[in-house]
Amino acid sequence: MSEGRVHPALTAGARPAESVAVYSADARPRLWENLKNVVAHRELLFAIAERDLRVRYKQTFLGAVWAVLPAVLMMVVFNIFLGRFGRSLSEGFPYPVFAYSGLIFWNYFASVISAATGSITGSYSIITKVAFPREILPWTRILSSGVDLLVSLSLFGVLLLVYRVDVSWTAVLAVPILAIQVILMAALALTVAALNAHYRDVQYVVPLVLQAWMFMGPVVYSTQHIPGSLRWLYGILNPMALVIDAYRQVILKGQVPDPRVMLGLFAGAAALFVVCYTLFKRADRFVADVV
Amino acid sequence: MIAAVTCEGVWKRYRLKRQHLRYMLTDLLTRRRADGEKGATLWALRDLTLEIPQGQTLGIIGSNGAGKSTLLRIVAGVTYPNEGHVRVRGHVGALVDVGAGMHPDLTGRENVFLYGALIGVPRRAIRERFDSIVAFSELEEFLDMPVRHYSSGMKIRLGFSVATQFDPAVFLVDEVLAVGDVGFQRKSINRILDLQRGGTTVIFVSHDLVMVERLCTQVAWLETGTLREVGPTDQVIARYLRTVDQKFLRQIPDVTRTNGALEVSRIALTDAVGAERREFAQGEPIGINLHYRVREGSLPVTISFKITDEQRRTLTIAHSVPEVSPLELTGEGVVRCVFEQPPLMPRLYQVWVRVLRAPNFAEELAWQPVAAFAVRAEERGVHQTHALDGSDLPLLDLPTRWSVSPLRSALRAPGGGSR
Repeated sequence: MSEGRVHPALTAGARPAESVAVYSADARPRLWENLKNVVAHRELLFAIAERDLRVRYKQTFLGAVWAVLPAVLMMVVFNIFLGRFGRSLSEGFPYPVFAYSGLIFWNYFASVISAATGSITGSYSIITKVAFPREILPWTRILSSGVDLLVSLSLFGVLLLVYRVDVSWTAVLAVPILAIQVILMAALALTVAALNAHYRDVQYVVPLVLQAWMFMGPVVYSTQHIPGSLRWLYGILNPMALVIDAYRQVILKGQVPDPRVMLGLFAGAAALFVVCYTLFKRADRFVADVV
Repeated sequence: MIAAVTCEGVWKRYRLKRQHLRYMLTDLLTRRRADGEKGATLWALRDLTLEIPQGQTLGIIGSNGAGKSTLLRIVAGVTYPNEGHVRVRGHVGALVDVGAGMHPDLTGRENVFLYGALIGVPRRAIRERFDSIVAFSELEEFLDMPVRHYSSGMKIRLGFSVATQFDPAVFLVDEVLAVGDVGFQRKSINRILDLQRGGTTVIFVSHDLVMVERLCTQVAWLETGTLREVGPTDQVIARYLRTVDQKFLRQIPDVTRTNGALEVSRIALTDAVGAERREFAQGEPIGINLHYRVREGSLPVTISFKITDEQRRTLTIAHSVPEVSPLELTGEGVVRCVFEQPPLMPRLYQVWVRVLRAPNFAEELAWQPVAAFAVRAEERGVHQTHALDGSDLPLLDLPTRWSVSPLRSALRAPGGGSR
């Protein structure tokens, strides 16, 4: 099964190589085939992400400032309320540094998930008229918000300099952690996008859940006081908590995270991705009928 | 013969009510299809089996809701059949709606690239063809304007230009060309003819039967989701028109009463010898017989007949006034009006009637359609003239006489004439 196949490389006068597509109610989505199809449509991924950035910043006065402003404002607000409790909440780091380090990665997560919610329903005009791998729609925000993340990270660098927090080599380990976060986001983005196509209630539920989720995690305060015996349970219920803790470990504390935790996290995220992607592709066949 | 598109036992269902969460989960998590569920469903396609050979141009006709667009959407891969399967060989280019695949906030230029990316054309290939896309769309000046400010005609031009630019193996068009202006329509028809010559399989959905006749070699006629007939264009269209005529005629009351003074009991279309007909050859006289009954005394009236085309454009109106003024109707009888040499092209037409009371032109019977007829192409078939007309669609077929008179030559041109 393949849909929205890639156009064969075009040469003047040459007929494209024949590929056969079968659309059947019994077609089984094959994960690998689907991923290959996405890779083949990567230009679409980039084009929509670019469109996203353009549209978001074209008609705004402050432009790229909006990429960092939400996290900065949240950091300032939380600093006013939580900063006064001393460094016990922030594991011994200056509260703004601690909060901001959590907020930028959390905001990345939250903006991807909330943008993904309406990504299928909002693209009514292309979904019902052109065939293409629709999982690209919820995933584009991973790229475009990734640009915002880069901007936020450079501001974070400034913050580290201002508060004289040293960063060790372990900070490069943030990259594999980011990879785990991306897999998690990709899986959840598919889920909320497909659900919202069938039940618009989802678009009202997602912001509430995200809000609650943020306060359940170690974003603006430390959760180190949770006993070790319960932490694994906490991690399963809220993998983003482990991810954010891991970022702080490698960036602020200069520690190498427990490889067992990281492997478990990776395996869990990958398994979640496979399940969500398979279900998404099944629902996707008829999504043009319901959006 | 290789089939470009094969449909086998295709069923497509639309739910009129939102699917219950429980059933959706069953659908998703198991292979079993939740058949026993309640809720209104609409079968848009029922057991459709159809094979379209490579290089053929297939027209799809049928009334609204027959499933034409649904079939196109499945072939395009936009949605899936609920039962059966559809196999499509090669890359599909589709233009199924105005502004399909365009983002209103992006400029025309950006949308060309976005659309290309949607259908999987590499950026490099789009860049290569960008100039010819723009040239075809004739939108050079508007390229850097957001598409939201485009008119629907402009959107269609852009969409059509992009969709046809990458040599699709199968090209789908759904009743959108009508949006463009005449010049662009002509251009796009020529482009479709080019694609045909290049071996592209074209599926053309339209209510414009003349256009279908022009472009298609085969026609599939859908009715409430089933394939009623598929075959050579002229035959299928003829049979389709016949049922449409019959449907249309059934809607016309057999007896038309007016305020009570006049009763029009029947309208019959007849040929030169008075035999009742629904189809006429090009140029053949068309007689309209109006059977009337007047209750009492005599009724002075002016009767008018008009002929309209399928789009209800009035082509001609004939009044009884200049001939006999006014008509004095008494008792029962027949008023006959003959269009001697109607210069009509092969199409479907309607006959309307109006009756005015003579002295003060009070409306005895307001304009109403009373009959429909078809003009068929005779020895000069549409396909023959097609080669000469290109994509021009003439309304009238006027008799002409041709001659050549060389000025200084002793030779005389042979007097030639065509009807």
